[in-house]
Amino acid sequence: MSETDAKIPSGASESVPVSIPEELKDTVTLTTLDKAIELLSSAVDPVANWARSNSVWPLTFGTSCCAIEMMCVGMSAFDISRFGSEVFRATPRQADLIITAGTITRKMAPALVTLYEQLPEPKYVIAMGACTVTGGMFNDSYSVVQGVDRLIPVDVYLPGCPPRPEGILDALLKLQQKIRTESLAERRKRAYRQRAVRYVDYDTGRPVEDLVAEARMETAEALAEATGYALDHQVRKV
Amino acid sequence: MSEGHEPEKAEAKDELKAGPFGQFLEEHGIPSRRLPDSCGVETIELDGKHLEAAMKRLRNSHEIALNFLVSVAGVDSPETYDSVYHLWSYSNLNELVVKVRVPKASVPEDRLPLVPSLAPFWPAANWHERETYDLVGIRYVGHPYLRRILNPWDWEGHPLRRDYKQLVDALNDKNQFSMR
Amino acid sequence: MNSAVFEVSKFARLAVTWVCIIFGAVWLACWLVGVFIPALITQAAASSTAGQYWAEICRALVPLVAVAVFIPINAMFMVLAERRALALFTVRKGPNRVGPDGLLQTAADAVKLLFKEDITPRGADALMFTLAPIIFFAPSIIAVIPLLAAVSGNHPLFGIANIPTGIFYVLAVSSIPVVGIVMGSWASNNKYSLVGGLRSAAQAISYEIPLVLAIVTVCLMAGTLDVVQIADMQKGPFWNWFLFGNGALAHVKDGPVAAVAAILLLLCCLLLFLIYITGACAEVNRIPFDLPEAESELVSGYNTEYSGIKFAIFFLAEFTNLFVVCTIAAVMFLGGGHSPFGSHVETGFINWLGAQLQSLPGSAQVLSPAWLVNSLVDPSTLSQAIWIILKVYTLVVFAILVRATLPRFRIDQLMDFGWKRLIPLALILLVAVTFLRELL
Repeated sequence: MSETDAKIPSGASESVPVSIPEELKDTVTLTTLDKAIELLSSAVDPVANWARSNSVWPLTFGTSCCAIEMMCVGMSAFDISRFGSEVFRATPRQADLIITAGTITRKMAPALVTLYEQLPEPKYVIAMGACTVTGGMFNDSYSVVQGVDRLIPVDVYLPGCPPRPEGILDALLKLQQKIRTESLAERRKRAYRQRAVRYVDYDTGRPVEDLVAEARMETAEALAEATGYALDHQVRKV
Repeated sequence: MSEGHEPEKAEAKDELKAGPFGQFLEEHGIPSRRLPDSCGVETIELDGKHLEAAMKRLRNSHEIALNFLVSVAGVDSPETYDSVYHLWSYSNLNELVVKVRVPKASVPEDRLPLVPSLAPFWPAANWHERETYDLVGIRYVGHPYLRRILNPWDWEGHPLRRDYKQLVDALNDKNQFSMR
Repeated sequence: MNSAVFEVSKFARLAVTWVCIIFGAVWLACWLVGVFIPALITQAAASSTAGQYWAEICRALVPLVAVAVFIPINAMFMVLAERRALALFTVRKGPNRVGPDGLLQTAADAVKLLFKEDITPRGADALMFTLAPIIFFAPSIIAVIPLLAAVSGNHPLFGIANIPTGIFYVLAVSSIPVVGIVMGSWASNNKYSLVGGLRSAAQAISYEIPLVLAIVTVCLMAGTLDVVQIADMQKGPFWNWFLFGNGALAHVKDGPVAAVAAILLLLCCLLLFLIYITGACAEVNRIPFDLPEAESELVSGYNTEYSGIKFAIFFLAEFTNLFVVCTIAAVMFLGGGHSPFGSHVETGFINWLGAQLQSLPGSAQVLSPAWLVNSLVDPSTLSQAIWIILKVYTLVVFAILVRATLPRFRIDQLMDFGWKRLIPLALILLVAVTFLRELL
């Protein structure tokens, strides 16, 4: 086990300049397109950022009481449509933004990760409400994820329980400011880190990395038992 | 195991007089034991093996008509696992709490306490029993589809048990020592 | 109250600005390709046949150029108008931050969709997945071409696109988009898409029948399938429109039988128009009939898996289809580009303006400034264009109003309404109109 572990990282890291996380090594291919984008970036950026920041389409995603405030922000009194964001898309393929409105439990976590992965790049996340920022008042619960930033990368944190609709508008404006400072090349480079979500198992509600480590441990133990060799130090640490 | 357990007659001194529902059950030959009222509502304890007969009587009789099962809950008491049933009658506007108590001593290691299920003849109990199974870990014998309803399928342990160890991993590690 | 008036006036200002932009662009493009460039070519190569040949080709391209310039700008305007109008109906402000008074909102949306990642899901049929939006979009381009002749009063530049069986062709072509929807939904490898696509097919089959029956009845009254002739039959005051029985009211004085028949015919025609509008709404999946993309049941229906530019094409095509069915309604029922008043004042003014332009000094000389003005401003076509714009966009705003008002049908209600109400009614009207015409 330890030998194969040692082999994986030493493989492809020399040829590519961009640092790619371990878990994505086998899925990522860097092409000359990246170079072209880097060259064009400064010319295209102003237009692209203007367009992106002015039409941030949120995903229809609400898991509890924050969703009521999120609905409220689309209504006449607050009217998110002034900023061009009233187009709540039902499918993640056409949305740019997830407003995680409400508590995320371990059972919902894999669904949220799936939705985030289904969004096409560029994608943004507003963590709305105390529950999705830190776990909120369910902080101590056995089933609540203590902040969505443990699952997906978050752009804007919006605390409150639940935040007022004005708060959502403020978060949206902050997000627009953030988008205006981006550059295509930077975004492209960061894309790998952006994609680094933490996968959660549907059946047990535990992070997949933990389950993998456990399975590895069990295999090693069984192997040690069968062959009579002592457990490798490295594997035991995992 | 509820099979061998009889309501304890030894505490005859503290024995409360049977209330109207207890008397009704007595008339039909179903032994019950009255417990202190919970919030002014008559509370009786039943033996697991009498549960189905008693519930059918209470539901179907015309004068009692406790035909609305409000909830099935579970309690992890210090000595026992309780399965608690709240019944309500819309025609008489009165209420009854039924408890089936399984002593912890009678439950073997790595086994769940067994209580007969109401779901086959009272569909309202179906999801409530699943929830109680999920959170408190009482196995309802005869339930048509007893699997977890709130937690993920392969969840380990029953979270509202006293001896539950909270999972600490990357999703939930702020409180290493639970406040409970 | 004042603020409501203010908001409405802002919406009107936006609409007028955009319509001027759209039709100015189309007008200029048509003039460039159809008049100016051929004139330059003939000027340069006056006697050679090759020059004549190229000039003719340029002129023949005008309908295509008009459509190509018109459709993207128009769809952008219609999306914005819809969002602003919905905001107006629900007492909101609507998009008003991008550009002057939100004029550029849809431009931002379009550019954003252009720069978005384009995903083809794993397991999807990549070729079909890419073809589907194109097949959905293409018919809306080819369908409008014969209508161009009708709405421009058979202008020589557009007249070549007219065909004797115009309306037949338009209806045939405008039923193709369903194929695109079903293709896209199947190719997405997604159950929600597939259900949406099949619903769309079922809906299109059910609602095409009353729609076509309504149009057939109008053709029966007109005695021709040629859209230009149908539009010309409705010349004069608005009671000559097919909406009001094509002059049936003039027969009221002819005796009791004719009077009753005329009034019945008027009622029949009004009902026909309603049937057509209902069927058209279902045909383009507008909101009381938007079951193919019912968001509460299917995630987003047939376009669930589409992102980026492909989704933009779907979006574009949906609004263009709405525009096309509204144009058909305007030509078939509302008298095409003819003025609803048919007054002599207006025609007199047009003739006077035409004469003034003709008499500008040097207007006979090709490429002189006077000639440029003369060829650019064509008073009779201008009046036709203004009237058709008014009529079509009124229908479009009506469709938006319906969207803001009505909830969505359930699928069984939709089928019931189509097969048990609309189709029998349309058949009865077809027979009734046939006999009522004889009684006049």
